[in-house]
Amino acid sequence: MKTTPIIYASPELEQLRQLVAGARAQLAELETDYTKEKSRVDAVQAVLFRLLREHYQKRDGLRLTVDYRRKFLDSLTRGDRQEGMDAAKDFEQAKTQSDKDYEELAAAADKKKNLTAEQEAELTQLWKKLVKLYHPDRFANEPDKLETYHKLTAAINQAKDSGDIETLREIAEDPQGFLLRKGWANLDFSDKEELTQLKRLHETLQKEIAAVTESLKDLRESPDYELCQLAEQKPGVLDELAAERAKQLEVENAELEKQAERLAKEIKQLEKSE
Amino acid sequence: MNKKESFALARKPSSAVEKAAPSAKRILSGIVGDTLDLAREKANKEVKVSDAQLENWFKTGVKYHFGQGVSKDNTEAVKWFRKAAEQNHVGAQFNLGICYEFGKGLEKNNVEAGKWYRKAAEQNHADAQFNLGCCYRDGQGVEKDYAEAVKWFRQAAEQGNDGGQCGLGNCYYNGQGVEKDYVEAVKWFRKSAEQGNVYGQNHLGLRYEKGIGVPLNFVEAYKFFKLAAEQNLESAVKSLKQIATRMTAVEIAEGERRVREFRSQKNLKK
Repeated sequence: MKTTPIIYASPELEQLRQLVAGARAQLAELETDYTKEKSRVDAVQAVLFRLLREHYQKRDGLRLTVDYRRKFLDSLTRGDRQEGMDAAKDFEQAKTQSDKDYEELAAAADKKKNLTAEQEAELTQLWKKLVKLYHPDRFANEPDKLETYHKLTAAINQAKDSGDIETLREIAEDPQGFLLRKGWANLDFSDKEELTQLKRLHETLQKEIAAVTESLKDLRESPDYELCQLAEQKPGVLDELAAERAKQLEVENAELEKQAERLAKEIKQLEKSE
Repeated sequence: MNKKESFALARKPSSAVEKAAPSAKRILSGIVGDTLDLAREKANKEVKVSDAQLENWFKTGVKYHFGQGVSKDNTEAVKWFRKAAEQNHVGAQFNLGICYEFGKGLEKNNVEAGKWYRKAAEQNHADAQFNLGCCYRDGQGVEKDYAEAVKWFRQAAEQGNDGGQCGLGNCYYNGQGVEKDYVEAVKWFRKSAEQGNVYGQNHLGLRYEKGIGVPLNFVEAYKFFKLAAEQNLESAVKSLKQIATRMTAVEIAEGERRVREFRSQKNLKK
């Protein structure tokens, strides 16, 4: 029997192609894990935040008030008006910032939704396509295209971190269409069949794999992850903990309110006597 | 969270939370951290750990804190102290309080410091009692309360803690949280000074110099100023110079002799 001999233009090139494919498969897997786990972690965090926000915001406000009144009282006793005014200004700023922070966090938490089982399953397919867009060196000599590439990777990252499957899908299914709709330049993502290019691609893929591995490791070592694990192992535990924490905060807040009132009284007395 | 940027070249934070102000991130990590602490506390109550195990955790924390046989790592030290502290190990509770107060291995937090000092103080840890007393005296992490300060200084002092003795003496001297009593103040300053507490020595020197709570006595004042000055207390160095100008050579020689005597007695005790 005769077999058709397969003649490779270059065995080295073929070997590289396989290496690149292998690296991409590995990267896709890692990115999938990361997206999935990050999304779960954030969802748990959002739930906890919604449960406890009110208490914490109140506590932080009270802490600022107590701290401010104490400083103000100090300045009154020492007769330093300027210092008292500065303290008032600092307090206003800190309070505004704190309330703004809570608003921002609440908005982020409200947007956060758990991925469905189907969405999680779909991620593997999406990332297999998305990692093919990974070509950091490809546009190095074309500033316009490089900028577009940066915007695109930023969009992917943002979608990844916020568990935005729709955007990931939109990009994965039709990257050129996505660029077009955004009004960005066209990009050619095909692999250049040159030894040096492929070598470089393989090297950067390796670096990327290391970076994502690191991110995943950091994520898994984070307190947020620990909380997520806890919540997944024991359903209902989050509500239980939040309820208990809320009780503790109520006690703390009542104490702070008393302090704040006492300080207000002392300030009044001092101002009267002056 | 110190997530590394991935999908290279996009070096900007992306998700809403990652983009949020650092102060907002602190809020979030505070909420998560508090909840985890609570969960750990609850879990710990359910598991019984042997005393040997606890002691081991504590010692591991100490090793990391000082870098004994391992590379110094305050974060790791805190981890072990907390583990043992949550199981009521008194030394670990005290050390965790220290870590919080001075921001070693975690963010400085006076309220947490006070919380752990109290746990150790309630188990009769003298240094923790002294530190808790200081917290109350200075209103650091707790509401300022001299009566509470006196309570904890006294408990420490009665266990022979020199810091507590000096603190208690000071409360008597200033009439803070307790009726002003110079004689009682001197009694505690003396106990503290005799143990080599530099502040106790300085206070006692000042009392002898002015004859408050004790008969005026320059030689004794000289002795205690000198002892405190030797421990590099600046105000004592000044006081020593000043009092020497008002003393005769014989008196100074006698003061020096008493300093030497104090030292040799201290060495004997060692």
